[in-house]
Amino acid sequence: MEYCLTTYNLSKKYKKLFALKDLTMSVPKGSIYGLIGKNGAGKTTLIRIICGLQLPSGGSYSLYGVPYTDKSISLIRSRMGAVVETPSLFDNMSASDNLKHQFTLLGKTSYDDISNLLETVSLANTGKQKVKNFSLGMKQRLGIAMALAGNPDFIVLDEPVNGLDPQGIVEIRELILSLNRNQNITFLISSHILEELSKLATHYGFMDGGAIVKEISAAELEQLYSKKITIVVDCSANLAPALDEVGLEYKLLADNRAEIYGDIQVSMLCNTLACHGINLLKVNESDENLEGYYINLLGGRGNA
Amino acid sequence: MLKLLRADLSRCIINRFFIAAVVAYAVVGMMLPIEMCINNPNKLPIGAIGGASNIFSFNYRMLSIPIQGILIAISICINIGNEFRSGAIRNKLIIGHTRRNVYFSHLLTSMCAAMCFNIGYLITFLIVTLPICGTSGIDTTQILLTLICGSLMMLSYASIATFIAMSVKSKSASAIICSMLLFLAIFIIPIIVHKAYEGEYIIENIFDSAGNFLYSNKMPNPHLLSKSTREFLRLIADILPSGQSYRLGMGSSVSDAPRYWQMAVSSLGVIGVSAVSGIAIFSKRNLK
Repeated sequence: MEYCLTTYNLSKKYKKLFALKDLTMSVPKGSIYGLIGKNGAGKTTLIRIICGLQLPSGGSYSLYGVPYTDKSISLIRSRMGAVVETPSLFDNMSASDNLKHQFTLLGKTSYDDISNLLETVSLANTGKQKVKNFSLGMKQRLGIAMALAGNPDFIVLDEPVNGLDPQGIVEIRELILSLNRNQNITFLISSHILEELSKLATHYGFMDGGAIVKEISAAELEQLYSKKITIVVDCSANLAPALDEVGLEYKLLADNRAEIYGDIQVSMLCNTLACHGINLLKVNESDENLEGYYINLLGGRGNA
Repeated sequence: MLKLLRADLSRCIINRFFIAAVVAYAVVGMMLPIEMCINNPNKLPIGAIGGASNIFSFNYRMLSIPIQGILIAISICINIGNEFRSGAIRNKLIIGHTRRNVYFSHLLTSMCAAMCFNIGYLITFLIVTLPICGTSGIDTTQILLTLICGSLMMLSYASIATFIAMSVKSKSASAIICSMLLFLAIFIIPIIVHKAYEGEYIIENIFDSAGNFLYSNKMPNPHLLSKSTREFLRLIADILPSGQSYRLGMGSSVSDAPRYWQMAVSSLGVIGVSAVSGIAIFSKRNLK
């Protein structure tokens, strides 16, 4: 698998405090990687480091396989775009002028793509309106347009939906999904809003105490939490043979209680158990989601 | 590098404070020669030999110390401070520009801004002064040397202001630091120059009870500093941009005329040291 970003034992120390400690992670190419962690877990520090705003105190990272210490890393960074915390915009200029400035910085001689970019982020009708009069969502979208100006194939977004209204959140989500699917742009997104992230991400990295506690793909996570029921029966003697007969993966939690994984037809399960003389007393479908997984994983300490 | 420079210059020329400051400075450059000719007709006679040269030197001193450095420093601090505040510097690094290039680009932009002040002032000064004083008796060499040293001094002002603005990050804090340093230098430099060029003897005039002059008494200066200390103070005066502008303004009015080549070398040294230190600090700085 190709990776846009890999880190190995990455550390960042501010005086005596470790913001990152031996952080190891990999962002697969073409993925939307959701970075989850409570306040102070080190998400923004990690983003600042990979964007070249800060130097690591230890460990290493590489972008597209090129170590950050390599001289050609600047060239590699030109394939990246990022919106760190707040978009880098000039308030007294229009959206179009901000993009022109970005194009100049990127060494682009033609401004022809500006209208397309504004169209992509639904800001084509802003005309000469200055950025200071934009809503938060508009600024965020313009920030993404700025990040897109260099035709990047890896975009880093730090809390992209923070402070946005529901409409703004939907717009940003659709934009990210569209860019990922249509242009195969890889995203690394940190967010506190787990529900929103669960609608986007293909991969997750759970951070705590400056380290990645768990990396998991959305598919793996779905397998873990969405296809599981817990049953309670009146008679435990034949429960295991009955479940074996159905051919389901299960785990006995107690004499009369079991967890069953996979696609389960409850009516068929009920019939089979009845054939073995077992009455099904209770069925609990797992309601665990990304938030539940996060709470279980990190013990529910602090906020995500 | 060229991409950065083009972008930075395009931002600089739309900076309202910068435009206003250049215009204001040019107007001051035009007004002061007129004011001096009106108020000091004996000292700087219109049409007199060397009038233009003297006005030029005097103006450089009068204007350089209180106005020039402050305007340049504030303008640079506002420009770079805005870049930090808006995240523009962060953006430059994210898209792959090196920190050294980012710093150099800002330094060159600041220097261009400083030269705009200088050229704006010179143009309006010449437009006003030459028709009044004429060109006869102009000391071309002195003017040329003053121009070269003055321009280098402006560049060293720009380099110091860039160093502070890139190191401090907050535009208001950097503007305050620059202005305070400048004011401090302005008040200290006359004392340093006075001490450095103090005569070995002082003349004491003796008067009678009616206040009539009787005779002069030449006596050793009790406050004279040692030769090495005076040399050191002269060096300081030559190194500091405010000291240079003060010395340039002296022209040939003191026995020890401005040491032009030393001033030029000092300015280049200030530019070099502040640039290298600035890059070293900026390269290791954690940006948000």
